[in-house]
Amino acid sequence: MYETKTAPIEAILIMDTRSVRSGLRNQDLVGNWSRLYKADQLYLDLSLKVERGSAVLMGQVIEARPTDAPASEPALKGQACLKTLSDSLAAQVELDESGGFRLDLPRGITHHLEVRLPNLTVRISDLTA
Amino acid sequence: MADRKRHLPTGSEGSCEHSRVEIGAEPAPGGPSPALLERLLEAPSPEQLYRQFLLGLSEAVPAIQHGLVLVKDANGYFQYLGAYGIPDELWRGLEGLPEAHIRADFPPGETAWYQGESHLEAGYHLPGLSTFELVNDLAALLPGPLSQTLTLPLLAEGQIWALLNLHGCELKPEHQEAVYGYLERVIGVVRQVHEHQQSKRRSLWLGAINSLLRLPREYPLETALQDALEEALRLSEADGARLVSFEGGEVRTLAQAGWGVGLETPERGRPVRALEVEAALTRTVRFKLSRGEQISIPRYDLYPDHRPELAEAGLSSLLALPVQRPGVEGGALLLFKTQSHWLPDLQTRELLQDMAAAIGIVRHERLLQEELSWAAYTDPLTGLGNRRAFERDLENLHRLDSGRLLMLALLDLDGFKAINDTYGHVHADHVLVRLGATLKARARAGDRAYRLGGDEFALIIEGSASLDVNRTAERYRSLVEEIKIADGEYLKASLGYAVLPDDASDLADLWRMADDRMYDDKALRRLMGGMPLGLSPHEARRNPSPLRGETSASPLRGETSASPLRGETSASGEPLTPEPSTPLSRLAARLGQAAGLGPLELQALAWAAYEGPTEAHGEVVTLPQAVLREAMALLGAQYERWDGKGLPRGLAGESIPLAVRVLQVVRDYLRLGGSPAAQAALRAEAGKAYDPRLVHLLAQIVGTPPDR
Repeated sequence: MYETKTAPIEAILIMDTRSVRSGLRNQDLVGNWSRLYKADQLYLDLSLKVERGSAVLMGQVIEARPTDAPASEPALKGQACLKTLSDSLAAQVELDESGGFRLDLPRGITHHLEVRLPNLTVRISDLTA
Repeated sequence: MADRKRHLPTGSEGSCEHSRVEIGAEPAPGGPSPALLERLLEAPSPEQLYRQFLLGLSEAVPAIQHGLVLVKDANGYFQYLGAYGIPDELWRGLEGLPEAHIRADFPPGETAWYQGESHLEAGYHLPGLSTFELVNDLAALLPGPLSQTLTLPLLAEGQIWALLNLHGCELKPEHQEAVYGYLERVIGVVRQVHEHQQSKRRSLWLGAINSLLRLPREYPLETALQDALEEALRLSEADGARLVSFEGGEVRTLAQAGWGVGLETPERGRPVRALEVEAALTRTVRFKLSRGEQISIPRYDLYPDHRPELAEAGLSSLLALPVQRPGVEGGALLLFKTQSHWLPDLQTRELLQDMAAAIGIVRHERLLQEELSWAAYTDPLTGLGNRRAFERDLENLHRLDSGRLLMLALLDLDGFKAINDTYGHVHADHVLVRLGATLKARARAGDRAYRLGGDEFALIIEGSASLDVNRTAERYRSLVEEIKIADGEYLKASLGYAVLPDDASDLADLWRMADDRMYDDKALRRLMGGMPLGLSPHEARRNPSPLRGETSASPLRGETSASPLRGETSASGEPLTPEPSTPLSRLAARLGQAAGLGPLELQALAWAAYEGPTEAHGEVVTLPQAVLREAMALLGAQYERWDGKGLPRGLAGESIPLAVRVLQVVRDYLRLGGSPAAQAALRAEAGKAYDPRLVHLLAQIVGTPPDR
């Protein structure tokens, strides 16, 4: 686990995309969504897929590199953690080589997501499936 | 009040004390005073509602000098909805505060936040608010070491739904107790009124959507879309809106409203033009929209593909909703705001999506209506208006009564059946297609061309009193006669026209007159093989045919007349052509003589029955004008019927000139093969299509068939 000395940075929501389900009489927004967050020099691409009573949260950490940065950057290392509102750890996974992760998100319970990187912890509050 | 726990503060300055107010299932004892209740119920908007709520609080607890109410939206942001004692310019338009920020900045901690515990502290503090200037401005409202802030997270259904931030000096326990008492009596009503306002807003939305879906056909689509967009703008509380369609990689703006419409461009002297918010629809965004996804960008300046000029112009938040249309490229409803973190709540977004869907449906329906209307009013082969369109337009123009001349010109192609027979239907259709294209491309601006059916065309022409009607009509005939059928062979057309109000007083007369004149012209052209006779339709109008029951006396109507064929040359001195001798003309002459026709009638009948070439022995056929007119009139009436059900005038019995009746019987007898069966067919129609006396006479001339 990476211990960061600074407090977590709350990520800023930049884009939220939801599928529209066309009904007979109205249009509903389905439970699935994808969101793009920004925190410091990182983008965090999150998507939630709800299937048959379970929900999967998939994420990808993307570094906002300057255009003249070398193409081959070292792989991102870190962890993605789900925390309850009382701040206890509910689940934790290592980021893969491309900065991606996948977590099961319990339905109907609000959680916080923390992405812990060597020098930064990014927090996304109040995720509910 | 259910599950109410209260730990009243000790009141010492700067200390943190907690109390909790929660809306439960049980009604609050007492409730608001009647006057306050009335003010709350009559509040037209959430802002007015919370202002009244805070005013009531200040009346109940005068020690409270300022107050703010923030209510959580569906996205977890606490939005400023009302203030008391704070100038509008300090709080109006402020961006909402994320719950996470407030919670993290709430002095008693997150657990206390979730439990809805209140907090009293010294000085001014709004948890989550970090804008330094604003904090200073608010603190400056109540300076001094004794100022205090009481912050109350309000609980309902286990969630914090609102935040009350109160400000006063030397707030004592009894003041706080009075605040809690007030909240117990009033806050439940406030929340109910707020929910009622939201329901009302929802019903307004649904009303707007229903209005769009029930759009009358005659209401212009562009206006309806503009109305819908403005309604969406108003109800979503966005600053600006656009409705766009995607057309082959391009974005076309259908309607725009609110902010960004007509912004000044930086260059001086350039025309005012709208901010191109459509440029925010990048390829990625359009791809998502095409998949039916709704996209919100609450921080446009941070969006990786943002357009700097739009962000600099003030575009901060954007919501794009798909407008889908079956089978074709869709579009989008765009709503945007100059304030960051703006995102309508989930209910509003669903209603907006309903609006976007309604827009898609209405556009699709209109497209279908247009296609249907096009099909209903257009001749599919030539692309010209059809008979239905012709009748509609003629009636509309007449009804409008612009005071201008209304000219109706009818064109009937000569010998089109022969073109079909000679070159085949495909070639003949192609000729019609080219004719349609020529009329559409070369018609005078405002003139309308129609195909009434088969080889019959019409033109509706409006013009001033100085319009040269003959020249205009002949110009159109020239256009038609420029159409090439084959090498050295061109279309020919008979023409008849009439003018309202010069020639007719109503549309029926106008049409009949143009039709009669077209038949007159056709008869003339038939006699002369399409050669000019020196008698234009315009002149024909001035010299009406005796068959039309007009001024000239005519032997064809049974009157005696001296034969005009006294000389052997025409009026122009050309030698007259001898009467034709064909089986039809010979039999017509025999029956005509038996029936009692005079010499002129017999001569006209011989030429009317003539179906040979327009040249006789290498010479152009030349006839006296009187014979021509009578023969022409005779041909014009050849489709009348004895029983009055014929065309064009519905003449019956002996009102049909005798020569015409003779021609009908002889013509059809020979067309049917000149056999006993042909006689039987004529007998079957005697008294219906034919004069029975003439059918009988013909039988005597040609011999009664054996079966009689």
